[in-house]
Amino acid sequence: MTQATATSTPFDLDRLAAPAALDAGALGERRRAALEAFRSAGLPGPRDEAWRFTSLAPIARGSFAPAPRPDAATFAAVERRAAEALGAAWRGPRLVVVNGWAAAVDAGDADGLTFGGLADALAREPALADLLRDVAPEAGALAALNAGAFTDGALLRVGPGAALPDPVVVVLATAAGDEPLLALPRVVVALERGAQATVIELHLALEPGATPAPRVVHDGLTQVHVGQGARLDLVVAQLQDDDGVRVHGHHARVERDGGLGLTLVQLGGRLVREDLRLLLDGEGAEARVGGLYLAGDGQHVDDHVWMEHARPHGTSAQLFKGVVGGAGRAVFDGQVHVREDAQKTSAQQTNRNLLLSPQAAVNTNPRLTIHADDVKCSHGATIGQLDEDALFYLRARGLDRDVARALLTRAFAAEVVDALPAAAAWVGDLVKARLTALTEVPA
Amino acid sequence: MLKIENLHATVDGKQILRGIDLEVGAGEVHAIMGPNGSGKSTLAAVLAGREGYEVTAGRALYQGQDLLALAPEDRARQGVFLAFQYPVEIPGVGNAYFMRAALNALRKARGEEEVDAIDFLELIKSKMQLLEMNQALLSRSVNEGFSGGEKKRNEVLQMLVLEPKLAILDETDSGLDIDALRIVARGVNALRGPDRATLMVTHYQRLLDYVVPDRVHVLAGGKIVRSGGRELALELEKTGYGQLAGTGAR
Ligand SMILES: Nc1ncnc2c1ncn2[C@@H]1O[C@H](COP(=O)(O)OP(=O)(O)OP(=O)(O)O)[C@@H](O)[C@H]1O
Ligand SMILES: [Mg+2]
Repeated sequence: MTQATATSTPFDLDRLAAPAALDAGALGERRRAALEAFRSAGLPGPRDEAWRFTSLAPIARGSFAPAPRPDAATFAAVERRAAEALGAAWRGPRLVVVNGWAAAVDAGDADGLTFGGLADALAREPALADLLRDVAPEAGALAALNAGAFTDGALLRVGPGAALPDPVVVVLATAAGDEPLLALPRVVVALERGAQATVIELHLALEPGATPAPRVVHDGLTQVHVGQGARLDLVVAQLQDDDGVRVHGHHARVERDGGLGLTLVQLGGRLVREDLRLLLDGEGAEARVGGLYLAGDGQHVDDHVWMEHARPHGTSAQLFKGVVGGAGRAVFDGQVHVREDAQKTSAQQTNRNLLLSPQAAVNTNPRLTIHADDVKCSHGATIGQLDEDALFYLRARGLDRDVARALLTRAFAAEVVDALPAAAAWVGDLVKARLTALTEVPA
Repeated sequence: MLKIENLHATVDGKQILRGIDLEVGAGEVHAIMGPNGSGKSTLAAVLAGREGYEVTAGRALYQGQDLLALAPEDRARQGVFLAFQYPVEIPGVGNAYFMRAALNALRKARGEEEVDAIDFLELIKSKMQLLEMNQALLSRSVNEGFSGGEKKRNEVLQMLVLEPKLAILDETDSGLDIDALRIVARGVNALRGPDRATLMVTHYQRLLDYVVPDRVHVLAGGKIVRSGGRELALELEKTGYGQLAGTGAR
C-alpha cells in the first residue's frame, strides 16, 4: 500500500477548480485517486531515475497557482500567433487551448468527426469519459497530476472508417498571469476502427522570451488511441519557450494493424520535457516516430521515450535527432521493451546528436529490453560535431562559414524534417530559421 | 597571378613545406609532380586556406595581394579554386543546390545578380554535357555514393561553373580511365585563357598529353627540387624520382 502522506509541492492544489463535469461519476473518482497519488509522490527529484539529468529545481522553489480561464483577448492573441506560425495551414478544424482552457475556433463538420473542448464534450456526452484511459502509475508523478487535475483541453474522435480531409489543429498555449501559474491541459485523440486523420499539436508560449523565473508550468498530457486498422499522422511542434517550464506526455496505444506516424519537433526552451509512451497493443501494429530537438544557450530539452511491443508482428522505427548549441543541454532516454508475447517484432531506435559548441552537452541513453526470442531489434546513439572536412569543402567553394554551418546543420536535421506530412511543411521553415540562429558563431 | 616565396608550413607541429618558391603567370599551366607524401596536397590546402596548417615562414601573393591572410571563402570569391584530391561527401545537401549556392556566393561578392534555379539548371546541364556526366548526379547529395570517377568529374564541373582565375587541381586525373581522363582534360582546357592560370598536381605524365603544361615542377621533401618544360615529365616517367637531388631530404 502506498502511504497517503502529502508531500509539499510548489503547486497551490487547494485552489484547483475544474468544470463540474470532470469531477462527477467514475471520472471524478479516478481524478481524486490520481491527485492523491501525486500528493503522496510529490515533485520528481534527482533521485528519480527518469529525472536524473533534468532538474525541476527551478520550479520547486516557486509557487504556482492553478491557472484560471484566460480572457477573450488572450485567446485572440494566441490565435494570431498560431495563424502566423501555420500560415496557409491555419484552416480546417482547429481549437485553441490556453493555460489548460479551451476555446473552439472551428469545430469542423467532416463526417465522423467529433471535435471540441474537452470539458464541453464531457458535459454533453459523459460516456466520452471512457476515452480518457487511466494514466499508468509508471508514467510518473506529473502525469498523475494531470490525470488528477486537468481542467479542460481538446477531444477529437474520428468514427469508424472515416477519413478526415483536412488536418486537425490543436494549439496548446501558455500565457503568463499576475502570479506564476500551473496549466493542466489534456488532449484526447481517438481514431476508431479504420479511421484516418492527420493531427497537428502546436505548443507555444504567448510571451516566449526568457524571464528570471518560470512564469507558467505546463503539465500536459495527450492520450492517443489508434483503433484497429486506423492510421494517425500526428505532428507535435513546440515553438521556442523560455518563459515557462513545459512538461508534456504523449501516451499512445495502437491496436491491431493500426499505424501511428508521429513527428515531434521541439525548438527549445528553458525546460522542455517530453514523455512519449507508445504501446503497440495488437498484432501488426506499427509506429514510426521522428524526433528533432533543438537547444541553445540556457535551454534544456529532455525526451523520454518508452516503446512497448505487446503483441506479435509489430513494427516500430524511431529516429531522434538533436542539435545543441551554445551552452544548451539535451537529454534523450529511449527504451524499447518487447514483451514475451511479441514474437516477430521489428524495432529500431536511433538517436543522433550534433553539438555546435564546446559548451553544448547531451546525455543519451537508448536501451532495449527483449523478452521474446524471435525479434529483430536494433538501437544506437551518436554524439558528434560538424564535419570539418565538409565545412572546409563548402567554404572553399565560397560559402560563408555561418552559411556552411547552417547548411550542414539543416542537412543533419533534414531526415526528420523531410518526413513531415505536407500539412506541416511550415514546421520545416521554423526549424530552418531556428537552426540558422543556433549555428551562428560570434566572429 | 600566383607568386609563392619561401613558403614553410607545419601540420601538428610537423614541418611539411620547407621553402617553396613558385611563380605561375596569367595564361599559364603548371604541373607539380613528386613522390607520395612530399607535400603536394599540403601546398594545395595551404593555398586554399584549410585550417590546421601553420605557415611558419614565407608568403603567397595572388594577384599581388597576400593570399594567406584571406578566409577560404574569400579566396574562392576572388577566383581561387581547389579541386580536392578526395572530394568530401555531404549527405543531405543536394548537389545542384550546393553548386548554385556557391555560384551565387561568388556572384554576390562580385556585385552581380544571383542566378535563379531555372537559369542555373540550363547552365549546369550544358557543362555536364561537355563532361559527359549523368544528370542524375544533380539531384543526389554532394558526392554521396559517387564513384571515384564521378567525384573527380564533379570537381571539374564545379570548376566550370565557378570559372576560377586560379585553379588548383589536386590529382584530378587519379583513378580515371583513359576516356574519363580525356573528358576531364577537355574540361580543364575549356577554362584555359590568357587571364587564367592552372596548377595541376599529378602523378601521371599521360594527363600532360591532354593538358599541355608550360612548366613542370618536382616537389620532394617539401621543396621544389627541379623545374623544367614538359619534357621533364617524360624524363621522370622513365627515371622516377629517385635520381633527383633533394628527394632524400625528407
Ligand atoms: N594532419 C596531419 N598530421 C600529420 N601529418 C600530416 C597531416 N596531414 C598531412 N600530413 C603529412 O604530411 C606529408 C605530406 O602530405 P601530403 O598530403 O601533402 O602529400 P602529397 O604529396 O599530396 O602525397 P600524395 O601523392 O600521396 O597525395 C605526409 O607525410 C603526410 O602524412
Ligand atoms: Mg596529395
